[in-house]
Amino acid sequence: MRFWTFQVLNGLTSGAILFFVTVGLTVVTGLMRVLNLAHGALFLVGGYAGLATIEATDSFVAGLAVGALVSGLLGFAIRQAFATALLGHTFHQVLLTLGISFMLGNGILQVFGGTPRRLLAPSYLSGSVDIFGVTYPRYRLMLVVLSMVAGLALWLFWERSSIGAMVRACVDDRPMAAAMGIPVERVFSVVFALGAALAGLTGVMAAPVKGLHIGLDFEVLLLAVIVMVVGGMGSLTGAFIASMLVGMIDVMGQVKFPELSSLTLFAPVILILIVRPQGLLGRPLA
Amino acid sequence: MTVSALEVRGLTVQYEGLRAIDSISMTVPKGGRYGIVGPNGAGKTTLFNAMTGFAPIAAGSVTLGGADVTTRHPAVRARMGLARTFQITHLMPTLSTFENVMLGSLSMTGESRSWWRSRSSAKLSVANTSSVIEMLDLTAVADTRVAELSYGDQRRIEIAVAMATRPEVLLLDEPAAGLSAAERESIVELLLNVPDSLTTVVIEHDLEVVFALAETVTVLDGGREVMTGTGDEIRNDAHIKEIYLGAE
Amino acid sequence: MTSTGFQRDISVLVGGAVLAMAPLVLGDYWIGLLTQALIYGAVAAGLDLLIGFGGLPSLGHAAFFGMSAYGTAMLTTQANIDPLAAALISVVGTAIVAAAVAPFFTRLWGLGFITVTLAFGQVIWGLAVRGGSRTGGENGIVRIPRPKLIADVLSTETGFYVATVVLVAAVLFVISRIAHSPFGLSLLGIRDGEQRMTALGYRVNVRRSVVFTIAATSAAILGTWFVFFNQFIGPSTLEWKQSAGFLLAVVIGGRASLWGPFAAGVLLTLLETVLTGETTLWPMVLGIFYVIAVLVIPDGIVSIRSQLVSLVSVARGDQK
Repeated sequence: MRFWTFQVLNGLTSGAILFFVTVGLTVVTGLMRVLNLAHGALFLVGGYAGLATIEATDSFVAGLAVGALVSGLLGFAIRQAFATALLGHTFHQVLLTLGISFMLGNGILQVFGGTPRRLLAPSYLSGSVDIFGVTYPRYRLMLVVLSMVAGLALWLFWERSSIGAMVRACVDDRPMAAAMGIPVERVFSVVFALGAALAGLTGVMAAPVKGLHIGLDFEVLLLAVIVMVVGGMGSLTGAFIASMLVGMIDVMGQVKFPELSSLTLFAPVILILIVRPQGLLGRPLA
Repeated sequence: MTVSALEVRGLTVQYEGLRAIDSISMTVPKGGRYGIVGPNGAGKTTLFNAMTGFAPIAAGSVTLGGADVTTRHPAVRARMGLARTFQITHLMPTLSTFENVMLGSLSMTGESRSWWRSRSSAKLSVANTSSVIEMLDLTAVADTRVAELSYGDQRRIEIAVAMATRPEVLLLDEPAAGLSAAERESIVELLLNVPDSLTTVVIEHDLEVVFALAETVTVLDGGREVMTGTGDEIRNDAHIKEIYLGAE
Repeated sequence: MTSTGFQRDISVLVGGAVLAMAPLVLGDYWIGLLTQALIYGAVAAGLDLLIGFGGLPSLGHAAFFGMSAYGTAMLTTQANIDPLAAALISVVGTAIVAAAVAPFFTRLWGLGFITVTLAFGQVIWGLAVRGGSRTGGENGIVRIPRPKLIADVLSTETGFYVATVVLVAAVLFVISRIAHSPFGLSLLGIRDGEQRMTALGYRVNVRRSVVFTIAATSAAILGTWFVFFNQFIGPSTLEWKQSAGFLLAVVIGGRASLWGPFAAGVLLTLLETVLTGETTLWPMVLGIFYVIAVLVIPDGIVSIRSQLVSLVSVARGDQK
């Protein structure tokens, strides 16, 4: 029983991280119909930037801030520089964002080298807590709690605020939103940059749990794509539910059926795309 | 009792709370020239879409040459002899005029299945394409990419592509819209001279074109059939005038 | 496409003959490189049929290449089946898988199709990586035997190379005929105007499924041939980055031109192999290629010729 409680908590932790990473991706994809394959790289760049900051300043918070800032700026720059190309043909988007992610990933390799890096949780969040009959790292629990708080906050913002309504309008019906006077282009730029910043922030936040290594950018990207498809593109609630689901499946799958882990994760994606392309709660990708 | 070319009974199309067309019935006799008119938003294109299978039918039926096609896939209806043009030109922009019309011919002749021999060896299709292109006066632009051609040419190609399938019933959605007077005249000329075996149904905003072409006209308004009669009857009906003047 | 069918067929033959003479001037190392490059180029051409003609951007093409490769590898090394028989079984098996999934995948398009092919590729890759002793897991399968052909021609690098030239020429020949047939024209029509084609009576999804299967089968044939060449197969051949590489070759080469993607595939493979040996910067270079491909030559190198032509005529005052 204790073993399973532990695994469930691991699943929730994984889900929490996935949620933070995927929120940016799903909103951007739903909004702009752009599949930003550089999203994973933005996660990793933020993580490494945060790592460098923490090693220099010993401040976890500074690391978080720098991680978010660097990725946010990169995201903004990408969006500005390639604005027209990003809205073009689907394969152009794929290739462009893929190219950027290769460049960023290789850049990290050149600067930080190939050995995996570890990041320790800040002292005020380290150590373990007794919960549900097991001893579990405090930091991970904080991530889980944070994901729920953030999820709620984002949901309120999304559903209840006027800015949220504006963004939703752009997702649902872009021409109509433009006709109603919403500055669609600016919404895109801001959302893109915020999504990138969040990815970078998550890179730092997740580092005590996942570490930082070359190749993590694509691992994270693929998982985020799964979550986005399962939850439904453009849906926050969907992203939350799907993140927890996928987090659970990923952890449980690795424990019970390690040989089939890719299958367990990607087969549902295929099924959903075929049977229910809009995922749990979102818009169809096609 | 002869079988009609195309018939709809009690046809209703519903979109999210809006009844685009409501219980429309219409019988188009074989070889006839039929017109559909009505103000914008009356449901004319929706009617075409329902007839050809591009709109979901909530109630009623569509019969093509005596066969019920209400639930049949649009490609199936096309193969049964129902061709159409679209109000917004639906052509293949990177292909030439010849290639566009050729696709229509290939479908009709069945040579579209050929996967080893070159396109030019599809002799029947090539011959059909050439004659349709000539019929629509497009020989000069046959090898030009459609994207580079004028709107008027594109509208004619739209008709050519549909006619290349040698259909039984041809639905034309505003074929003359946006054309110059001369272009319009030549379209009318063309449609008046099609063989008697071809049944044509024309949606048009331009009443003069419709009255010149059609033997029977149905007026639609707000998704409903308002009146059906000959050109003269419609032209002289006060109520109809009101609908048009009121809407415009 | 202004050349006639005859011109095209002849140029494939001539090109093949020229390539076949390479061993006269190049050593074994380069011949081996060229063999691999030709195979990958041909895969890109097959993919062009799917992407350029069919309009279906696949990020899972490497899965079919690798599936057949692994099938051949497993059958020859574990079940001791004759290489040629193993090749046949693998190719047919892969074609069946492709035909089975095609109707479902092709119902999606654009972003949905990309994602489902990506997911499919990952499933296959996952099976290869976690397949334990059957697939050799991370380490792959080694010592795969080559088929014994006449005069044991495949046992030397040069012999294998010439056989590759013949195979690649044959594959390109077939792909070219399909592309320039009425069926090929209908694919272009579907790519450009799906609704219009449906209204003309074409079974759009059937045609899409057919081209998907054809492209997958061509990849399967080449994958099997690759495994005979390399005599080793590992999961990295199935990685989605491999699929992305094929996609890049198609875009850089020029969609729907066939020889453009082939040339791009050959060049990119050569470049990658040479550079990976020298530096760790290959992903950076590749990334830059991707970005340049999209921003500067979105229509591929094939379009450069026509762009130059129109530039020249503008300079000469022929056009406004």
